Amino acid sequence: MSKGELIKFARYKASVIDPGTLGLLTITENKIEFCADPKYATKLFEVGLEHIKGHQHTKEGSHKPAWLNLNTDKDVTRTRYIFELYSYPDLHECVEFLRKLLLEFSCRKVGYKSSMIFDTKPSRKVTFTEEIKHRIFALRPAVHQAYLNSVVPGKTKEHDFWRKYFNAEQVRMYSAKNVVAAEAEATEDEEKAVFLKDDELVAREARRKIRRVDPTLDMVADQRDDHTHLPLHGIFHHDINDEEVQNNNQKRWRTLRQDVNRQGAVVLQGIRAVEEEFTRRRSKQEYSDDESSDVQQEKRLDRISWITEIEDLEEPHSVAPLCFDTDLWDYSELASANAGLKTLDDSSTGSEQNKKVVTAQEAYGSLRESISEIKSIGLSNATVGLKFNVEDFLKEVGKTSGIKDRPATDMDMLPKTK
Amino acid sequence: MKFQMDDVTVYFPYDHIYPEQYAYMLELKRALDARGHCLLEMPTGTGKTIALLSLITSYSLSKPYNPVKLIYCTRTVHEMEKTLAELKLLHKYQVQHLGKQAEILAIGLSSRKNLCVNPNVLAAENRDSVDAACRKLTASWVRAAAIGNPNVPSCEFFEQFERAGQGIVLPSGVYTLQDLRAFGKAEGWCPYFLARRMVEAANVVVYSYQYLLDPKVAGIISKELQKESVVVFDEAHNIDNVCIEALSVSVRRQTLEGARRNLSKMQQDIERFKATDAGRLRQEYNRLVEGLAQGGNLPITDAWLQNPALPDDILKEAVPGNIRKADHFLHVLRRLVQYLEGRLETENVEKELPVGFVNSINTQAGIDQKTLKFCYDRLHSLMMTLEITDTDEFLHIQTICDFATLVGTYARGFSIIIEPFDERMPHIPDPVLQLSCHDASLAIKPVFDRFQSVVITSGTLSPIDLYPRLLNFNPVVSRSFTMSLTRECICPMVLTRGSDQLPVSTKFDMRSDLGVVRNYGRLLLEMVSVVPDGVVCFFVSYSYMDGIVNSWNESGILKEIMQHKLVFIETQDVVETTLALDNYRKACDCGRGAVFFSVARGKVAEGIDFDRHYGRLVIMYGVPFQYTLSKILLARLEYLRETFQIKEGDFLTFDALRQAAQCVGRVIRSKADYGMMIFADKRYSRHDKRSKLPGWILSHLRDAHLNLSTDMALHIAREFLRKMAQPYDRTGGSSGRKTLLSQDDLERMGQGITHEMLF
Repeated sequence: MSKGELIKFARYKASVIDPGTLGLLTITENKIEFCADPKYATKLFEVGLEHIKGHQHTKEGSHKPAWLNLNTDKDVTRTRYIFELYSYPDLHECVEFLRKLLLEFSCRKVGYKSSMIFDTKPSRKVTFTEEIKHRIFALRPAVHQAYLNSVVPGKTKEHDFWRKYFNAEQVRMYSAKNVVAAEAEATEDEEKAVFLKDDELVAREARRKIRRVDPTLDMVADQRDDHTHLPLHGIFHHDINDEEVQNNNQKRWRTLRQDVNRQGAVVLQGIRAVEEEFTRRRSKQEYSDDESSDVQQEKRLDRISWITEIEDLEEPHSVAPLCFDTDLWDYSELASANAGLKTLDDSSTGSEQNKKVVTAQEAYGSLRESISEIKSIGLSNATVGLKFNVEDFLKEVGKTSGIKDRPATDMDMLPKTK
Repeated sequence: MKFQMDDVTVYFPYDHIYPEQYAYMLELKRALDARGHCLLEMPTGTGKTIALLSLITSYSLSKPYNPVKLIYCTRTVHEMEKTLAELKLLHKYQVQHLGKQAEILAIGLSSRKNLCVNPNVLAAENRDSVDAACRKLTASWVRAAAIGNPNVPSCEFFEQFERAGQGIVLPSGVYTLQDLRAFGKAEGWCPYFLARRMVEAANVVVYSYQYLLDPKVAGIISKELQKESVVVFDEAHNIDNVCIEALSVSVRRQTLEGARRNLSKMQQDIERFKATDAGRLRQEYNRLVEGLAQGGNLPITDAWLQNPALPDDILKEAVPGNIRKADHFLHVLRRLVQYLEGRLETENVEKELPVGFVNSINTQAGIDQKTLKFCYDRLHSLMMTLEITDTDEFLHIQTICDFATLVGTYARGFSIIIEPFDERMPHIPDPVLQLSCHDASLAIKPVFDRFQSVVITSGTLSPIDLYPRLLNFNPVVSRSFTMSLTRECICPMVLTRGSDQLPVSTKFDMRSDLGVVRNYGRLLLEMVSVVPDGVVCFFVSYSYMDGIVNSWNESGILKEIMQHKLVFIETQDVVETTLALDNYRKACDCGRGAVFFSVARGKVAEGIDFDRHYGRLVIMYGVPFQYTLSKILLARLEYLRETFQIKEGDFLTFDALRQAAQCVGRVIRSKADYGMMIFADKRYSRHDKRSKLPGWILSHLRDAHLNLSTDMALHIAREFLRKMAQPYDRTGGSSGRKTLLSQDDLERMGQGITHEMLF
């Protein structure tokens, strides 16, 4: 099974009472396919993921077979697809895979909001949607883990799980004032402790990521670099040293600061990456440190030397800077030239001008030719030809607008490739 | 470019030079010529480091018969890496122009944690134990045992390094920590011990302050450095604090409990040796009768931390008779621990001077001053005799002995303060006994005495006449440089009122005022909507930042801020903060923009740059005064007043303002850069506070910007950003004064320009 694909034996049922057709259900990154027996070669149907509006499934222990029900929008032939899977584990796998795909699908369109943590707080009077659920999962991998361990196999009801989660969030919000009560709650329920305390998965992730951080801000390297660290040497600060002690007490309370930082990381990373990391973690694939370390290290060093140089002490680099101080006049001329082209194209009046347009198109054609030439033979000699073509093309454009005295002003600004 | 400065040809790796860099080099050269110490303040963003490196290496090149060695001290490892990267650039340039003769050896030196390449040692989960894990493989007795018994593990990297013997050479070049690790891996030599050995031969050594200032570390690392060295302390505005930290030590309940465990473990070891190898203890006794505790030259791997007292103050005598026997010594330590336990049982804050404290130890525990003084050396000897390798386990007793040695050695400049609980949390008993040093000049004195030139430099050394008093030395050159500006690329402002025109401050009585908190929030909110890319906020303390962020969260301001930019916050957890910073930079790079909340005096304010788009605006919320009720601070203030005639208020203001200047100075790195600085507290408008800011900030602080409200500041910010978006002449030609000099300019102008650069 490849990463973006899930294949299961299943029975496709046209309706609930239909005995169904045995076949192979394939879920891929953008569609769902069902191939019927024999040999699973005949494709019965195919549904694009964008048409799927929702999915339900039967619960384990409900004396019903493992059914997966997909609801689709009106653009496809049917509005409902029922599959009967061989077993509940198969079903769970399908549901989880589908959920992830659908989520990813929706997030390809929209990124995260910068203030996503506020949408996942219990104080907000918003309806609890799939969207929010996924935000919580993205922010708190440990909760996702707990969800997979308890809700998905049916140990806990989904409703109970979330009630407990929001309950814990409430406790946490006031825990600054009442640490003792929160502590008591945490000890009495293991799951609640997961909700309340540091996210172990995030912490582990952090330890790994830290190796790739830009060396100019790597404060971890500084930590205890006083040759051999001796505790309690130096001026004593209550707040700092207490933190040190707390660090050793395995788990700490999660704080607003941590939430805010985690949110930033998730927003920047985007959901896709978050999900990928999660899959990787689940499949117990640790990043091997050596794998990318050389490349990473090189990048780190490149960066440091780039940061080190004092730019304005250098002679300006050979690359011409973007030039904004040319006449605005030139710019408007160019703009009107383009506009002129467009109108000409629309009306196509005047044979002489029309011809120019054709020449421009020819130039464009030759440009395309050159590109495909480069593609086939490589970059060794093609540049010259290409350059001429571009120049011709632009000159033609300039001529169309009837500016004869300065036909290629914009070309003059481009760096000469010699 | 290359130019002549009297008898020295200076090689500078750029085509142009700022006039202030040139002036800085001139002053530095004067100090080197005079073989004296100097104090140089130069604005951030004017290429201080490269000017320093360039002049000192060129100076050394021009005197091939008597080259000076450069010892460059940085506060952090990442600054070390930055410095070495600049040196690499310079070295490449010099070799290009001079060929082989310009080749030098430059190394960075850090602890085992950052240099070790042995995967078995690095696998140790606990951060502390890289040292211990290393010792378990490399201590002389372990290695001796490994020869006879192949089952005893040893470190292949170290063994190969030893086998290569004295023939080991590091080819010339500039080695960052990463380069050392790579070289060590390739050759199969231990990079840590390689670097340690190369310290003596290298032309340039870059390491952290402690390696020179902390006697415990300096004693093993920097012992052999020659007098003909130039020592540079970069970003040295906090050097006095590093000095007093180096000689201070605290004892808590956990320490005493741990020390008791250590003592019984050692007792067991002694009993074991008595049964199996009584000769060992006998040998040690004889050695102690004959002379010093530190029995001559120990193998490089056995050297444990050195005596915590400064080298001049260590008695060169035999260990007193009453602690020569291992049993007797443990007995003395037990009595000492018991005495300290008793002292921790206090209910009131107690303050004592070392003399009184030593007297009461003598009367109550029967340990005299001389015995106390020898505690460290005696312990060290015993640990060697008992062949203790898991040094991590014995840190507690080490702390106790350090304390005893220091308290027995110093009668002045220290005090002992016992606090039964943290002032801010009186209901939680947490007794601490602190020996705190108040005199920064003690730790740095050996450095001034020993080396030919010591350069103390930073962007913030104002008022510059205070440092010679605090550190008790006479600089031959003491200068503050201004910044020649091509355009007004920094824009400091003092914001005294919020959008509702009410005053804002973090003053004690206004701190919890919700109006102030709201006004501060509105200020940030307005600013994030007009300032592009990165914005940095500094708060006066962690607890204040926590409080204010929580209340912004409750009032919804935080959410509104997040609509404009992503928010990241510094925490006490270094890993989390580093990742937050990394993400902050990513957010700035990708154009999303971000705000970073940080704390003055925190780790971020100490060493992270927010240059270019990483920081277009920095807001300093409040005046970062130290916690003035701290007993240690009060004791230090008293000492400063009595000894150096420095007034309490003056010192506190100086200290707060240097931190504030340090925070805001992080936004600018070169003259092509630009940034705004908002001092958001009404107290900054007072002359006595403001005047303590460095000259280069003050000279850009216009009178019209001294008393702003949020709306006015917003208007100024808009104008400033618009102005900075215009093209400008880099050389400053239009304003009549050149701000960028070429080689020709230098040759033409001679040294006339330098006078303009001085305050």
